[in-house]
Amino acid sequence: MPFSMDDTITATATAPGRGAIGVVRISGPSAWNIGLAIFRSKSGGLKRIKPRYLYYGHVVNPANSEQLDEALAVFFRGPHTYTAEDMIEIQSHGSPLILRRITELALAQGARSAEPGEFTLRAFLNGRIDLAQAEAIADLVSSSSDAAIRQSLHQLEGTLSRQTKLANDAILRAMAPIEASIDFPEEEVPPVERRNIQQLIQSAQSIAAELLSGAERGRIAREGISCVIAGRPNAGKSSLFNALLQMDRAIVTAMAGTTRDTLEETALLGGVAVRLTDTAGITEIASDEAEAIGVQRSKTALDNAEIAILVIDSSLALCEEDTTAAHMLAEKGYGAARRPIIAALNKADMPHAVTAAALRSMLDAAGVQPFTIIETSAVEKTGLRELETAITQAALGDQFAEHAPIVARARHRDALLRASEALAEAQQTLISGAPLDFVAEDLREASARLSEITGFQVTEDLLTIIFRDFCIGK
Amino acid sequence: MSEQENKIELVEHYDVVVVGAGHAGCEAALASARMGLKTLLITMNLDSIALMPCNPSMGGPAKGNLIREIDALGGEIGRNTDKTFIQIRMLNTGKGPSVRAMRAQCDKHAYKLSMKWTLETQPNLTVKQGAVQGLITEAARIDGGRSRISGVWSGPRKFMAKSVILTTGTFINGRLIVGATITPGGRTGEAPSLGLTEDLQSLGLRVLRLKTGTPPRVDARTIDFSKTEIQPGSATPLHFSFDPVPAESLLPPGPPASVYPTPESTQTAWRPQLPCYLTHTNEQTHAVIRSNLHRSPLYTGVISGRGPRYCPSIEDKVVRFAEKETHQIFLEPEGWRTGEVYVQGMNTSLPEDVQLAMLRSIPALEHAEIMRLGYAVEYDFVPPDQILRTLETKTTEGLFLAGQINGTSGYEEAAAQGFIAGVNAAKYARGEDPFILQRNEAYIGVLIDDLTTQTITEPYRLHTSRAEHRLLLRQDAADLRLTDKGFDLGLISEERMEAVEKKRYAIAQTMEQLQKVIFTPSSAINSQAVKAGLQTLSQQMTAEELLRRPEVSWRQTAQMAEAVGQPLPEIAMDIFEEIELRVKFAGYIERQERQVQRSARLEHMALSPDLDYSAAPNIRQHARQQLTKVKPLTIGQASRIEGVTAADISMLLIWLRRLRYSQKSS
Repeated sequence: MPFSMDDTITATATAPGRGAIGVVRISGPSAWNIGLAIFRSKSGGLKRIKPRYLYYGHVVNPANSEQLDEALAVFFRGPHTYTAEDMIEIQSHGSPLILRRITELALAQGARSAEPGEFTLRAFLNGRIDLAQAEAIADLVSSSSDAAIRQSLHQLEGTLSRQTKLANDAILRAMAPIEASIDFPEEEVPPVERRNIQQLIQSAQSIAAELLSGAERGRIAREGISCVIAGRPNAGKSSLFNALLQMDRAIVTAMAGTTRDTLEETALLGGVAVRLTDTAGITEIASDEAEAIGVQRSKTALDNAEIAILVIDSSLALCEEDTTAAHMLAEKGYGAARRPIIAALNKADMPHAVTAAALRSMLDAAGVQPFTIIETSAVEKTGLRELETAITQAALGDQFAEHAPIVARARHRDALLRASEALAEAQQTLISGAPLDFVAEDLREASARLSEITGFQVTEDLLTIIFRDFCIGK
Repeated sequence: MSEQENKIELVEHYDVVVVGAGHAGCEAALASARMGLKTLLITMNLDSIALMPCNPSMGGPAKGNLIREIDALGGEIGRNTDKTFIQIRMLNTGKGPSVRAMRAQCDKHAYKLSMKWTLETQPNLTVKQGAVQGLITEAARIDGGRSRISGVWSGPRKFMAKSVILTTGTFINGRLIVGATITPGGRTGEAPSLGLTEDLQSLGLRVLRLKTGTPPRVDARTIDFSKTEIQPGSATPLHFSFDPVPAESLLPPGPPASVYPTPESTQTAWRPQLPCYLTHTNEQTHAVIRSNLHRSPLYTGVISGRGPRYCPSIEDKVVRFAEKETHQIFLEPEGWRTGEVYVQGMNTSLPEDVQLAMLRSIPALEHAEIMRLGYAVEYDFVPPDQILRTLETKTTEGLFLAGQINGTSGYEEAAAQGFIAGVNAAKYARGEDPFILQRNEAYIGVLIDDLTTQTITEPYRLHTSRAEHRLLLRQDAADLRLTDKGFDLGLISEERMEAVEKKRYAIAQTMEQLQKVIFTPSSAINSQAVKAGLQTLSQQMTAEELLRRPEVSWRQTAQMAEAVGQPLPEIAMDIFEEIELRVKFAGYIERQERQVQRSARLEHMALSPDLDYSAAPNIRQHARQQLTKVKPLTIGQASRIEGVTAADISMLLIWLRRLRYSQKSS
């Protein structure tokens, strides 16, 4: 990405697609000149523009003075802007064509087309936002699901940065009296209260733990989750797969064994990207080589997925093949909290031959605890919403709707994990009665790890607290 | 003809010239001369060699470590302190092995004389009085090389040298401030040094100003010591130097000045010492200060620079910590036989009448007479992002800076830099590779790395909290860490190197022995355990495992080993402390060693000083400016520059990788 920082960039700032209003943003040293060239105020000249005022006028092609569209324009002076550069935003009608033409006019005046995320990049490079915020925005730009967007917005608000700083503050406040008493042994620094330090460490620990609990959900929300659809041949897996995707992807016939390969597709279910894999029917004896390969692939898909939907044909009595499928899932570790199984009593539109109770006892015998059992009909499209909810709940737990901050980046999660470890060690060291300098080592380690998220400087921040809180000096 | 002859006679040639004979200058000159180079030490006043212009104390947390490190490398400050201290103590004894700190009160006059004599008896070293007025340099080559130093001049005299070390303290353009009175001066009673700033600037060096201050000294005869609390020195022998024989005392013979009370309880058999005396300010003191704030140069704007946060003036303390009803004041004798007493905690630049009034508001000082006034001093310094880790300036080859000219504060910080500058000036003169200590090797490494990467806005003082590998930088093991390096430099004698080898061997032997001695639970063993004050053993364990228990001491372990007929070797106190530490805290020490190893690759990855950071994409503007200004030489250094974040470093690494790739492919 050989970005230059010195030129002026432009792009449509509103989401692609047809909206009522669209915004074109221009940022950089010539933003105002370009804006003045292509925007004419209704009330006459714009000789003395005031920043942050909304001007009403027209977008004009300076080459032939042709009016393109009615528009509103706001001029901003750096460094008090999103990118910390001079900026202008032109709001016009939301037609993609109009927006494209406005951008083209700006380009003709010397602007460059902005790369995706480049406004944010400039904001970050110019110190307007910190790394965690910038990464959150980067996630937002590339996120493909609702949940990811919500999460990005949260992070964007700086929740992660704020919470991390909060945890670090607690650590620094625990360190300050220790360090002050070490470095200024003869000053009137209040004695180190081990209990206070313990409490401060505890509060840092609980913040870190809370952030970490969001980490797994964050990963799921960002990366999505994979879900296999398993079951005996002709149980209706592909119909269900298609119903969930709301499109005909797999070839569905009434003949068993039609699906010989695994099919994978991503669906947005309850705001979470779910990678659905339709597996070939798991039969004991494959009738030909192609089917055998299909079976093998089904088993591999089972190895890799996080959730399984076990499809049972409720119009036929439970048979050995159903039990085999259940056993296979049990073998792969499904049916426990970490790998939930959702049992779908499919073909609910047909007369029932299997009850939920019968299915439960069969699963029980196979050693499988279903997350839930849902009646579905791929033909009549019933039970699909319930299935969707079950999938997101199995993936994320109930708390997902809450506004808890979510740690999505592996780098952040890793830093939090290591900080938590160091904090736990600090507690142990404190309890063991070991000398204070060892407690200080653990705390320094924890703070250093947290600083990887937001990038503060441990020593300087610590000294600042010491000199602020304690009267030190000879 | 005769005039020309005269001129020739006034030019002298040396390998190394050291300007200034404070704590930095003395170490620099000694290191250079001891490495065999023809060295000149030139100072404005021969009577001020190694003067302690602020308090009479040496050492303390981090600073004490510096003294022991300099000593282990072959410097003088430890020995000179040992010869002249009137009190020594071990601080932080209850706070853990890595932060114990020795601190001594010195006889200021004896300290000076002792150091002066050491300089005067040092082969290869010439000591002269003279005010250096300017630098002699060769201009930068046209092809973009650096300028080069070739000497200094003072009036008609020229002192030519391959390397020059400036240790000018607070003297360059110094001015002293008391109330509304401003006097040009480097220290009280001494003239400033003028002219050097212009020369430094013409070499392309930025020069800024700093401020520091010192409290008044009062006459001991006017102090009521009965109203103070007595602080005695250590009852057990302590020395800074690792020299095997305790250093001779160079204090004046006979008892100390009788004006200082030395009750029986403060008398120490191993060496006579003088106590310090503790008293406190009170509401009246604070009222005097508050009602005179309008006369304080700090608040009238006469002094604009920020003073050190760790050493605030009393007026600052009263304003910033208004809720504190009292501040402690240490009365420290400035010598064995002098009536001058340093009033620690009363650092001020208030006018004379206010200084007197606030002192006299304290019961013990009710009748105090001031012998020297407290004052603030403002002086020029060269922001140290302009020097390399050898302390050579980036602009000018062979020109080294050490001490307060680099923005530091403290005798120990100055001495450490002086030593490093001396060694590197000598190495430069001989065309040898530089000598650099890393952050994980020594507090000296932390100090110099901080100076070359941080932005200095107040006089820099070393704190232990600045070291990220504190457990590895213990003061008691400075000899084990650094003596080899001193020996390689030719600054440590063979005998002393051998003594350290022996110590190392004894430690290794004992550690091995601890693993071999095995205690098997039995009634006989357990009765021994009870006798040693230990809990009974429930399972078989080695002596090492026994010692690892938090409540078990070396002595108890040795007692137990003796009881089973496998006595541990007889070892000295400093060795068993080291062993106790290595056994009990093995996990922590190993963790720090692992951290050092883990970061070693990036820490030492070299960065060219010619990198054009403006071409590096995705680095934040502020970080880019900082990198351009500091020009770090390793990734480790770059990561410690203020305003450079982990993200910037990743971007930097990506860019470097790409640069290398494109160079390879083209």
